[in-house]
Amino acid sequence: MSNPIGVLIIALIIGFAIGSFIRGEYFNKKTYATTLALGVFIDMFLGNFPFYNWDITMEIPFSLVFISSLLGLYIGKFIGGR
Amino acid sequence: MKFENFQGMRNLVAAIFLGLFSFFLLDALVNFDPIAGASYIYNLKGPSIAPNMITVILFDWRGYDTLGEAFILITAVFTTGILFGRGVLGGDISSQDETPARRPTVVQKIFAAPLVFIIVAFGIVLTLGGHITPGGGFQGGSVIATAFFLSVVVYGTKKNIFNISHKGLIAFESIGALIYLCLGLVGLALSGYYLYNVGANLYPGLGVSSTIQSIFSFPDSTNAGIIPYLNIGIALKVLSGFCTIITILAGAEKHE
Repeated sequence: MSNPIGVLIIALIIGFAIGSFIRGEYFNKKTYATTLALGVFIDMFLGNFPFYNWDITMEIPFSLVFISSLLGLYIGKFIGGR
Repeated sequence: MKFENFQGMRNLVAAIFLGLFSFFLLDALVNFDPIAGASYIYNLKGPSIAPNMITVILFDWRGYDTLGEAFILITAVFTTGILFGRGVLGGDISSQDETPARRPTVVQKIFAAPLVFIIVAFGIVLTLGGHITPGGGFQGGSVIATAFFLSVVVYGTKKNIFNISHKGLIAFESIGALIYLCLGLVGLALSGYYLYNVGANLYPGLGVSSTIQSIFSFPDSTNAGIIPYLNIGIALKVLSGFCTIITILAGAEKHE
């Protein structure tokens, strides 16, 4: 099995970089809940995309890169967001 | 000579050149003779001159193609700035209306911010998987730029979700272009060919320790070399280029 941790770290960094430019005034509890629901929904449909793990005996049902980039966006928005 | 006479002469010269161009184009199309088995030759010889098939397809076919696309995008940004950039790049910005043309509806207000998050995350996924799946830097950058476009449409130019200035966009675009061009130079330095995929990865040449190499190696059984990093650079470039175009077009003003 290949090691996808480097991609996850780079996704986190890019997400953080973009998230740090996001304004906070448009976000409240409702928007966070909607983001989480939409994120889980789309993540499940993305599945194993983009197929870093080519070992078919160990199929991951959700996209780790998507979760990582979403996490990076959240962290970037909370730490560096305006 | 009066301008009207000169204009007639110019039209005549243009017509002659257009006729010549049309003749040669038609001639080329009629007598088009494809080389039989060119793809077989390429598939046979490709892996022996490039590290792997991913390099052959993604780099040889798309590396220079993407470089050309990047320059086209730069030209597009320049042209848009020259034609419509007076509202943003010049003139009195303080007098501009900061609100969007139409006030956002409730649905737009609720869904715009979450959708921006989702679209950006999906764009990052496309960018980072571009070397093994359909996608890549250009597509990922375009998808991320649609998030910016959505926020500009809903919240206006000045108070959109992304708090990034025109200078910031220029910095991002420059960084993306520099990443791409410098990675091309790495290929030139190590192999003698510009944009050559150096194969294994960049780290051994840079003297990075094996532990860090194992962490930051892109997971790919056939090893994509520098292509993922090219994708990141081109994504930054395309993202900021499109965002600049959107900003310029959204802030365009009519001047008599």
